[in-house]
Amino acid sequence: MAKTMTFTYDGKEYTLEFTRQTVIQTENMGFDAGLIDSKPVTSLTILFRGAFLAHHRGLPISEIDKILEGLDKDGLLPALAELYYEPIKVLMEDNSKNLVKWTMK
Amino acid sequence: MDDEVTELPSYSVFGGGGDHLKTPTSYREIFENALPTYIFLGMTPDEFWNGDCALVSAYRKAYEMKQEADNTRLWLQGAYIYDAISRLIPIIQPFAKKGTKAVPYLDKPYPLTDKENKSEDKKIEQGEVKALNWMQERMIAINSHFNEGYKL
Repeated sequence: MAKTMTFTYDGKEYTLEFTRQTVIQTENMGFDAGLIDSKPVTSLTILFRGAFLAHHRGLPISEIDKILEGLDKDGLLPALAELYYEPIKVLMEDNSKNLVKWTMK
Repeated sequence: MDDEVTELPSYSVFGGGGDHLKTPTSYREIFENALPTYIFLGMTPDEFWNGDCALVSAYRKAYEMKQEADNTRLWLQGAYIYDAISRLIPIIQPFAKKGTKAVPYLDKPYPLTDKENKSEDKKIEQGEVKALNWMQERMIAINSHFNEGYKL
């Protein structure tokens, strides 16, 4: 099963997840993984909006931004980034079987 | 051929294809490169794009299992052919005596599952018990015959 993030906001349960389609849509929304460090706030906002596309498509952006305002942001960006990388990670895992292994000391 | 064991078509997450100067591709390109492989494995485009992203691992594992099953089936087919030829040897050898007959072909398939194996073992066991009982009865009969002889 793919990784998901769940929380309840204003009495409603939300599930955040990325599919391959929503990863591309998030990219199209302007998310650039290379800019996470230099533009963390913008990255968090776009990533958070993109994470709603899989299960809560059609939710107004204003509503999503309001939820983000009320959410504990400690560790939120790395967690969302992990969700975002999941669809590519599983493909790379499948591809890494025959590759040369490396170690870091 | 549908049954043929084929190698899984590979794709490169980083583009590849011998073009070593090519920069890493966008996620869209990476996914689009991988899509034909997963369609080949039986995944629908909708599952690939919108389904649980971890499904790809299950499809790959299922494909490996199918390959193993196919390989076993082909091996079994070879075993049946080998068995059939072995049974013909008495009649196909050059100096076979006139009237020699081939060993009849198996009357049923090889037992493959545990259940079939157990049932086969049970039948053999029952046959052995039956043979043992028959021998014991014969021995008793013979012994009693000798005992009677001694009495005389």
